[in-house]
Amino acid sequence: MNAIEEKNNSVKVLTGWGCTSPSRSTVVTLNATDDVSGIMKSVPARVARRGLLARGLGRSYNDAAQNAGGVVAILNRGDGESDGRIEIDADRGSAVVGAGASLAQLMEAALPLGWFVPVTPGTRHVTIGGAIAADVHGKNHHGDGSIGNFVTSLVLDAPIGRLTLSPDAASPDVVRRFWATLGGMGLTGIVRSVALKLVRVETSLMTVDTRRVDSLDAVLRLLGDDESRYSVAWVDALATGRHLGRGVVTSGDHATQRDVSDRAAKESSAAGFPRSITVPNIGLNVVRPTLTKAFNELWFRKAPRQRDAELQTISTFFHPLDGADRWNRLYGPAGFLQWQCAVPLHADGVVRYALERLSRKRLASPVVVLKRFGSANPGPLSFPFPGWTLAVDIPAGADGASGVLDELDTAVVEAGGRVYLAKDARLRSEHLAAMYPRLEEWRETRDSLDPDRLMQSDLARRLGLITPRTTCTHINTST
Amino acid sequence: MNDPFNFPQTALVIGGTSEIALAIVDRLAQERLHHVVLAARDLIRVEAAATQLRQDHPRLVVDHMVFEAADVESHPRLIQAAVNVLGDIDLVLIAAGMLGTPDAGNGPLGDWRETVDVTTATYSGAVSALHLAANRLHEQGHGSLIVISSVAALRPRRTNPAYGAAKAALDGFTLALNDRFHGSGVQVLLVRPGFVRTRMTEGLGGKLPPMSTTASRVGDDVIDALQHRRRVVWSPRGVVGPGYLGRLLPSAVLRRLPW
Repeated sequence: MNAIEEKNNSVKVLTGWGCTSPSRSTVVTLNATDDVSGIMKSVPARVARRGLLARGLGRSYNDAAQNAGGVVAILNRGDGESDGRIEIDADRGSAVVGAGASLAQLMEAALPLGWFVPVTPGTRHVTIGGAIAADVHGKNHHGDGSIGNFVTSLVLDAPIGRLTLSPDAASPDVVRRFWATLGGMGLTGIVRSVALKLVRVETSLMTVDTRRVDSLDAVLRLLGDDESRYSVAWVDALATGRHLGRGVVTSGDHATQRDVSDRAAKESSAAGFPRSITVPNIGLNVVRPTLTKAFNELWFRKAPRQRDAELQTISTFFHPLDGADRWNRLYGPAGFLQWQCAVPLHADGVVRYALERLSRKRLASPVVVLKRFGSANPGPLSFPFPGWTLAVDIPAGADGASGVLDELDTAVVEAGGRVYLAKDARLRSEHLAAMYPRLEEWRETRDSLDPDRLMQSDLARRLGLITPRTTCTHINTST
Repeated sequence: MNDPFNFPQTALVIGGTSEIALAIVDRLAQERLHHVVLAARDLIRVEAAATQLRQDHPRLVVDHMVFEAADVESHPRLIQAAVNVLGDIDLVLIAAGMLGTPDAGNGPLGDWRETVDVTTATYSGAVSALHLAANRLHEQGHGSLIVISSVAALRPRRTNPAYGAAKAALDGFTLALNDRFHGSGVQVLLVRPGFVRTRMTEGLGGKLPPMSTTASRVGDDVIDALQHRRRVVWSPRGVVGPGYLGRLLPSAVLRRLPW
């Protein structure tokens, strides 16, 4: 369903990574000079009426990068094209990147120069534009925050025109628009290029400490006390009773020259990323409770009780799932969804409650991740805030999943938490304002960039993110 | 928009007093449905159905309209009105139909007017609305269409030729639409219930045919089929055998069966 290879305008049924909620769009490949009004003129009026959205590599789980009936713009990522360009200033440790370039490409370009991306989510196959739209976070959020904290400026093709936005701009309007775009789910316009700070690394290896612990309390304690740059826990969401929430905590940092022999460092940085295997399309969901249970047992026992300073590659540490391309096919035609919440630190009871409900109903897949978040950034729709975040993959065909997730959403709202819009698939829209209390502020800024409501997405329609234009009889009501 | 379980937020029901349709709406309202438009011929009954839904589901917004199958000129306005209140229509349910009066199946046909009315309500009027609604879903690029056919569609019976033939035509139209809309983002689900004990069938009297079911059970089967994106659902599942058998049986045998 990925439409990246398509060159010219074409009509496609798109889904997110979870392969659920399909919708049909007119897919347009943008060239460097195309802007919003140009795109809208290039499609039939009935399509233009349904609005426009940019799509990256289609890694958001559900409908964030879809626009049913309307236009979906794909950035031209070809070499040398401005939307795929990567320019690195190795002296200053900064990069200017076309929004269509992926984090994988940026890593491959930066690592040999001794630099690394400041934030990477669980996959490197996301575009910079998509990373901005979701204000992605990684294993270093507790110390470094999300990617927005490292962006020095960006070029946005908003419906009102091409703008350069920066968090340090003198004009408060520009700063507001910048932060409305970070985490704005692509609804402020099309991000075209991004300038960001990189982080210095001496090698392309990681030193990793692993702890296997037998209870949720122990997992939370380890994550809470962790001082490493990167930390995360894998949790067995089918374990019950006193083993509830047992897991494996990994924490790490970039290996220094002293940590590795010169030879190993050179070899690994030259090697690039390993080739991935591709999961075939077998048309069946293999992620079933019995298999998940067996896998979790194996995974848990395979982990060492304690291991310090193990050298791992970037791939193994940050993106283990990227080793299998199209792993989303494992869930068969019904697809899957990911539920990711964040709750305040004192509300760890919600994490426990969620794991209890999920384990009792045997809903979760093996992909379950728990992490501590650090400070929030000023983005009104940015997801992370200080507390715990739990992400759980769930087969969409699982019986009873809908009801259980509704209960969990309610618990999250009551605890003052929220769910991540880049992952969301089924939130009741009435929870949105409570989860994102600065929603109105975001809407106001967004509307100033797009008064005609040209930017649209299935996510926005489902949750009512964008308010319709108020129509007053004494003003012009024609749209 | 539909969620990953394929549950809609908004729905339009043509034939909004149908017990099967209301059973489906009842289940959807327990999930994500928050706004439904019921359209039916009988204003008093559709009002009553709307009131009942509001009582059962306080969070559900229910609007109702009059749908006159024979007045096809009014259908574009009706669909537009539904779009105006619902915005995107995530699900359209076509449940309009009229059973007419089955008879012993011998001798001359009964009331001529009734044959015309049954055909209009069950096929031509229903298809008029289906056509308009289907194109609306196609334009918006997503959504589900559920069409209630009948096991009777596979072999119209001599006891009620107009109804069986109208359902057969609707059934065929829907299957063709399913193929036509493949890859459009719009899902088309054809429902073939067996004999359903409803208000529509209660006047028939006599012995119930085998494997008769209830509207509530059909509702459950439809929800399951919707969730699994099926193309055709038989309800109960067991009627698939008799359904195809009915089609294959020689007339000499079929004509001796009592129903």
